[in-house]
Amino acid sequence: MPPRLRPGPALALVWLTLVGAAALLPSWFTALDPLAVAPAERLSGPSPAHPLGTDQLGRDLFARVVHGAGASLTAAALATLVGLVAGGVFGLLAGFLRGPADALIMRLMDMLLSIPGLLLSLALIAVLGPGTRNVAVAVGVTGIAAFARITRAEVLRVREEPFVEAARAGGARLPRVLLRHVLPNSLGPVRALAALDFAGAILAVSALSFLGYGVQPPHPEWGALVSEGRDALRTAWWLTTFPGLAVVVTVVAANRVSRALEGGLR
Amino acid sequence: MNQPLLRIDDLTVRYRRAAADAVHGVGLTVGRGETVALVGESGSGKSTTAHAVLGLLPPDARVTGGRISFDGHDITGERRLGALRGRRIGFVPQDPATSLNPVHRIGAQVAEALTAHGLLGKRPSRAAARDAAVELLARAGVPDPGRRAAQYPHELSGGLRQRVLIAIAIAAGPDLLIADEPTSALDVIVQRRILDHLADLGARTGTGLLLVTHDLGVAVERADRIVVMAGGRVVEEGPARRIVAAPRHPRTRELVAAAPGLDGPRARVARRESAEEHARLDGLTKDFRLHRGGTLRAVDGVDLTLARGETVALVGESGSGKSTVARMLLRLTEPTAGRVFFEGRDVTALRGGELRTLRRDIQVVYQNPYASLNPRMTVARIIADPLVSFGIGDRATRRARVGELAELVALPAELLRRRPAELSGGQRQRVAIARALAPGPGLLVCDEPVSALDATVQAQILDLLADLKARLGLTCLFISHDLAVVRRVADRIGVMRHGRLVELGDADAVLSRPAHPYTAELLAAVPGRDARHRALPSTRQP
Repeated sequence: MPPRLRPGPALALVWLTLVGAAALLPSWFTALDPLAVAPAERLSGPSPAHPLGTDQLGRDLFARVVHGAGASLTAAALATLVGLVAGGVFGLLAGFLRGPADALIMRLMDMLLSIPGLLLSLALIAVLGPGTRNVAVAVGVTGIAAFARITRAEVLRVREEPFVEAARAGGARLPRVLLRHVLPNSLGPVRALAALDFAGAILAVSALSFLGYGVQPPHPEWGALVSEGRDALRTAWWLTTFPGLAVVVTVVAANRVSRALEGGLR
Repeated sequence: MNQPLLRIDDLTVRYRRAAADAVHGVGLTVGRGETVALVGESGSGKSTTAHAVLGLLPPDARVTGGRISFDGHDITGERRLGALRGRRIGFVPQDPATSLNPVHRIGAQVAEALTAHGLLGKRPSRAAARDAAVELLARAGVPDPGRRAAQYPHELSGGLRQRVLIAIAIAAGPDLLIADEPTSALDVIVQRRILDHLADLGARTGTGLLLVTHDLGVAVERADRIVVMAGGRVVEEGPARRIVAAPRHPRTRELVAAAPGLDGPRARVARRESAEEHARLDGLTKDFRLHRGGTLRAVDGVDLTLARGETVALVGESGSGKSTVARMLLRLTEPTAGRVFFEGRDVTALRGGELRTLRRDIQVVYQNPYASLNPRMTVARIIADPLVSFGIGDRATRRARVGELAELVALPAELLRRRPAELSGGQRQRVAIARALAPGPGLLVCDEPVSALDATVQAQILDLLADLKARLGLTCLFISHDLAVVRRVADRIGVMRHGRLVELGDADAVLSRPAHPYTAELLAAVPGRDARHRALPSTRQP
């Protein structure tokens, strides 16, 4: 049953769809090459030819933001996936097995939760080395504990339902009970958390790229764009503002969708 | 004073986005000191009618026509009935488990009913409020009211909580009490005490009572007049005795026929049992550890033998240990002591693969068909689930088997693609039975299989179980708190109390000549028994 769409979440969905499309098919949105250098047009403000202006090397900023969406979203999606899958498995096992397994897993999660997220990501990157995939994994790991906790809480509720016992009485082995009966009925709040985590991951990935650990130049990425624009902050406001706005609007949109998911489930 | 206390004329209530009226053109009256029962299946509109009178309709429901007048005043469609509600119209809600605030003491909640109407003066002292609450609890039949007032709701049993709700309802000395299924969550013995008490209060104070119930037995025994509702309309109205003795409307006749009493035909078929032992419980004992330390002995040395093809019923009130016995037989709970034998083999300690093999032979139907089906699976997949789990057949043969099973339990084939939420309670219980029969078990454990269903649906499911038992030669352990249900299906009846099997014998013998005083008490508490005997002497079985 789809939640009833109010204008806010509907707009958010439209924006996320646009951004998703830009990530998959950037050439639909701009014909310009994000890497084409044109020194003659360097640091020109927004104009009909360059709607968001150009950077220090005369590259079209709109093209760079559109092409940067792919790197930002892929990394954020991968990060969410890492958190969701790893956290989901830990939460499922902890909630269903209870006892020592539960205690061990959840104390590990508590340890993970006690380390500030950005610090943990930086430490992981120091070990793994920079790069989009490593940034994604480093951000994803910080989300595991939250996913594990919420999955565990849901599993604790669902495992007491009579239909789970009925499945056991019907001869189902443990993996089947977990995957067919417990997991599908535990995913509601997890889905809402995933949308929320996705928003956080965009921010975290952008932050790490801003610090220079993600996409390597000259390839565009939202956080990296903001970082590059910082050098010309006084003369070219558009270089930091527009990529920054792209991050902010996408994060807010993902938040709205998360809240709509949560409300629709109540 | 010919004017009735409550008068409803042509009341129509509609839910937003609903295709039809929930209540249509309903009229009824309740006089001073009169008890009127509003009877019908779930969905017949009886609770909606009661809530409309109280101005407690949900926000998406609206009174679209008709008049409700109370003591001559028009109160139709008002949502702010504060002055009347509680003060002159008392309400006893259905579910004693959720109708009390868990974080406030009993006494405070009862006193609130008084202070909310300013009945204790402008600024009542704590002591005065407390004394008034204790006095009300005593009037509602709560034993040891002083101690109970200081307790929290979770420390009280269901029956006691229901009395607390009655105390709240009568706090302001109302002229009319509306009770919505006040006893349907309670055991028969507790139910009888509560109903006795309500009747007594009515007789003493001249309070009118509108009793909303799905149980015709309760209605006949307690009400002066019965109003029968079906499909949102009043289909029949009349003196209680007349309604059961000579029902005029077909829906009333259905209700009367389905009412589980201790007379009328038994659905039991000719016995096919043999002397052969199918399953045996030997000195079965179960202790539960309590949070505060210590243990609770839920089941205490139960010995029971099930012969192949017979149905044994275990009867008792909640907490008597009957469900725990069933769960130990199913090997879903480990016994503290004692052994379980199945087909001559000791299965108490089976694990892993061997336990799974055992489960093909012992299957279970649960009490609550709303919770025992996975809401995310279609009916076809639910029924096929044990087949997949046990690796029986391939995709095509499984689909054929699901079709057969659906036919066996009289489930329409078009429902197989739906999800449980789209099915009625009776249909869901048929799905649960089909799932239990899927792996071809020899022994079926039914744990209160009909207690969540309406009387008419109850009768259908009991008939189905009796029919299946005869056709498939199933052995059945049937758990129920309701003797009237049990007598329709059981060959033998075991009565449990405080974890012990206090009586075990042939169904007829237990029902007609109970050996244990507790069994006699249970029998006497079955509602509608005396009234029906008096009203229907001709249908009594010899």
